[in-house]
Amino acid sequence: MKKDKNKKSPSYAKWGYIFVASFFVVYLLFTFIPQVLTIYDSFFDYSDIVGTLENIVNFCGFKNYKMLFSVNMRGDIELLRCLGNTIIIWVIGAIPQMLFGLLLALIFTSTKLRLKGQGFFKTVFYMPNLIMAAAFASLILALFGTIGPFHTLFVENGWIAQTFDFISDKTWARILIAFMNFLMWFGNTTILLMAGIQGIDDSVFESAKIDGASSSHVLWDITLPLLKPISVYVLVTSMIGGLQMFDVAQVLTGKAKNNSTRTIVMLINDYLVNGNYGHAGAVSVILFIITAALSIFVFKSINRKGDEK
Amino acid sequence: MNKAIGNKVITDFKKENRKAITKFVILKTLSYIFLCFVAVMCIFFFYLLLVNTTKDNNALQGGKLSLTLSEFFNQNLRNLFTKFKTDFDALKGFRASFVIAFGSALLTCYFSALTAYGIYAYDFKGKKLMEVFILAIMMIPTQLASVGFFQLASQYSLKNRWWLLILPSIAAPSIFFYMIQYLRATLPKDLIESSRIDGSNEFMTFNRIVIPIMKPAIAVQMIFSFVGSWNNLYMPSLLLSDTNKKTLPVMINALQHTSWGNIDLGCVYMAIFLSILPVIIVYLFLSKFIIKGVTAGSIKG
Amino acid sequence: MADVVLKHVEKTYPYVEKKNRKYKKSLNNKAEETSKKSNPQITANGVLAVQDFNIEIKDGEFIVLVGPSGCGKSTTLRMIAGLEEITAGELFIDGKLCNAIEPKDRDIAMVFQSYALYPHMTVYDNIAYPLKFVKYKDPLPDKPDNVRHLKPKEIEERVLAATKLLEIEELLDRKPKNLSGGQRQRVAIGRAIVRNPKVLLMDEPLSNLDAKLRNQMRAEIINLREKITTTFIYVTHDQIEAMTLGDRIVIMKDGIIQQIDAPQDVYEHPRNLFVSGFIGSPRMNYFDADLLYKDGKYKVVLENGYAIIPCEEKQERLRNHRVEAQKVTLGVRPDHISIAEEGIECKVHVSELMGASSHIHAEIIEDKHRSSKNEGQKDIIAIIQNNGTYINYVGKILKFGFNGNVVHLFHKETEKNLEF
Repeated sequence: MKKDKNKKSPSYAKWGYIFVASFFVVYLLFTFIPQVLTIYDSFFDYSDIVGTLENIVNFCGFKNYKMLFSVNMRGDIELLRCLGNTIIIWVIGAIPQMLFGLLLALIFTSTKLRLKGQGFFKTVFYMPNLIMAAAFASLILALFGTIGPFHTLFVENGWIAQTFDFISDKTWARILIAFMNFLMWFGNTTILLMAGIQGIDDSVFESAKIDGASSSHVLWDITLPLLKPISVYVLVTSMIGGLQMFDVAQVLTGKAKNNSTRTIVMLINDYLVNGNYGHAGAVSVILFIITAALSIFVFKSINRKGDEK
Repeated sequence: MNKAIGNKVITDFKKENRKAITKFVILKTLSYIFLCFVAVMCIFFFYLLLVNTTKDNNALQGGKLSLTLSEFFNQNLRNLFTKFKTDFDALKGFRASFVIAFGSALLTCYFSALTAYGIYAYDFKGKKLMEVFILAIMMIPTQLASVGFFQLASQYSLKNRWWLLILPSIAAPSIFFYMIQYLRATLPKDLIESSRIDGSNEFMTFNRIVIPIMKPAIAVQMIFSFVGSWNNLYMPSLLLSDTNKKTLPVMINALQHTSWGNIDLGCVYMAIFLSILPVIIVYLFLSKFIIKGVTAGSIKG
Repeated sequence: MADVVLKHVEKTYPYVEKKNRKYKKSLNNKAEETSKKSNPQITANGVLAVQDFNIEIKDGEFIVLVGPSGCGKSTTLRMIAGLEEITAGELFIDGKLCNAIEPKDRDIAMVFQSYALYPHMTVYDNIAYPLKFVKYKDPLPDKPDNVRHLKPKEIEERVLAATKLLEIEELLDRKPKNLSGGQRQRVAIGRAIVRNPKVLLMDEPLSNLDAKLRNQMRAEIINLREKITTTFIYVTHDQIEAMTLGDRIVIMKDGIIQQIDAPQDVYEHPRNLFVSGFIGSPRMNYFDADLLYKDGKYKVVLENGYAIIPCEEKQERLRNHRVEAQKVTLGVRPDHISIAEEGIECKVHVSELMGASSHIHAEIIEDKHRSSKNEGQKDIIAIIQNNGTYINYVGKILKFGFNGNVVHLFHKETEKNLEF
């Protein structure tokens, strides 16, 4: 007996395609094609036509990449310099970010301390995360620039010379950017680490109390080891975000031509604005490779976390 | 098991108790001091910003650091919208930022929910592959597309168009991820079945039944999307060169290029202040909600 | 190896202050409402979780705290452990007042319901962890007050001894996530006993195991008890565990102790209606009856006229307490009811074959016998021994009777056992 075709239940599968279509169409048009174009561009020589009206470019293979890794007139490799700047600034900001985040998370989740007003403090600590980075950097620029109040204050006290400029000083510019990054992200880190601590079963802490562990023992033997997975997650996602650093550095030091604060994305931006799509593309591809490697690492570590449960 | 090595030492309780209590009090005080210190660190610069919006240009050009409010707030406000317009057109900037941010947030939330629902509610060939694909592209930095995007925009003379900044938000993998997790936790598939039986077509089911259920998730993501777009500098600065079309971050970026000696600093601070004010107001009302949303999406399990 | 004494211990959970005034108001209304409903646990200060808890536990005793959910047994255990503050009253461990002492200084150990093993440490490290903090007097010739921590070798010895006792030696290198429920249970117990604590506290340790494993572990705990001389305080909601494990059991309800006695005494002489119904399965049968006193003898008469004369022991106890004639609730256990010539007439509607015995559910003919205590139970439940042959009584009309040795008389209002 053959099954009557009319008795098959209606298939809604086609609706699935309809619903997801918008995503894939837009992705294709506005993201995928540009991405392919970026990679494509990286193999063409645009540097010749920069500043000219020409728009015919020649295929040049890996020439752009080689160029990026070669020594320039100033004696260093611009790409590596920018990469180095980005990482150094990130590290200077990430250390206090993790330390403050951890310390605050421990204070907020401590059952012994039971501090009041936690809601208020959390609100204040998270606020910088939502402040426009460009506005914040502009503010710092105004405050620390040569006509700014901090500059005047320090000169009056004799701490710095009149000609000293925070913004163009190699070290201080980095510190200012790192400080802004820290302020904007430590609240987020605190919230995530708090969630990590609260994810630990209460009875584990009680058991340690009964076993004889003092508060510092509980911290080192139990809390910190159990926070390792989420700390790694926070750290690596921070690094991925850090590599894409742009707003703060650009607004603060974009015009100052301070070579110690030029980030990778600022480099891409500079090439783009000049129409040098070849180099811009190549740097983007390199950034992509590094970021993708780190993301895969995060993805794998999350899955490992899932197994442990 | 019961052989004792020696006599166990029992600590002197009374002394230990007193020590413990004083240690506790010291720790608590130090904690409060630390919290206040960090809070001051967070607020200090923005307080300074507020103070400086109330001062007039002469006081500010003098360069002294002062923490007291003055009376020039209204004057600076007026000057910003009249005399300062050539350097920073606040009204136009607000309009641009608002349209782009709101438009992006709306589109990204609706279409991410739509796509998530499509993957969640229906079984079709390639569904698993599609989901994995969307998750995978989350790892690609936005800068990879920006070069090609900019080039195409230049080539087809599409710069200075707002929709170019709004439309791409339809395809937002991380928002999709958030929505589909939320669906998996809160939407029972029988609800969809029963809605079909009641005679509703698929779009009606989605719009009338699923969207209301997803309200909390959508609300959280609307806020985060809006704020993210409002604060975004990179793409807008590349695409928007027409002063009539620039968003606030782009205008602020441009401010630093003018020589600050000749400028009305009061207006500069006012411009910065107004740019961040909307987000601060939204945040103050919804802070608890926003902070809860931070962990809801990122930590799984 | 210590005795534990609790005197008038009380625990109140204070209401959490809310900033919103409206909430406080509604809370007061709630408090008034519920106190009208006579919930003794809601007071003006907060929720009274444990009330006037008194007990003297002898060194080496195995005490079980048992009761329904929310009766305060876990709270009491946690107060003994030091994980909850004692609102009022005194706690003595080994003669020393311990109210304000930190858990780690009380020389106690605890096994949690969720085992609470350290997830990132191996089994060996889990069990060795408490030994890190043990300080021992080790008098040296020139320093008679010398105190030291255990040496690694000593720690190893003790850990191995504990694991050998619990038969988990092969698991030493594993992490908790790679262990089964029963294995985790044993590791938790190992960690608790390795320190030779004065008191070993156990908070529903078998609740997370399946039935078969539970029976097995119950036997192992009894086994363990014989090898270790620590004082055990064990919390459970399962009355079978209570009856099999405890030297004495403490039955609690709504924060108040109902009875403290050896298992057999609780079974045979329940102090009140609650205890009689809580211990023993299937549940005790209850009837409305009249207690009469004539010619120096007490007699209990059911509504259908069936009369029982309590045995001599009970008579004496009733006389000693000068119990007057009154309406009572009569309780009889199912295993004490048998098929008789004279008795309560019932029609059998369910007969469960349990193997050696059958559980008979029979509906009482003539509603007058129904006890107001059993809103749903219009049945008598009786356990009849099969004696080799199984008879299916379903549908039959039989008379069920019992003798005066097994009746329990409870006051109609206070529900107390009139004999005590």
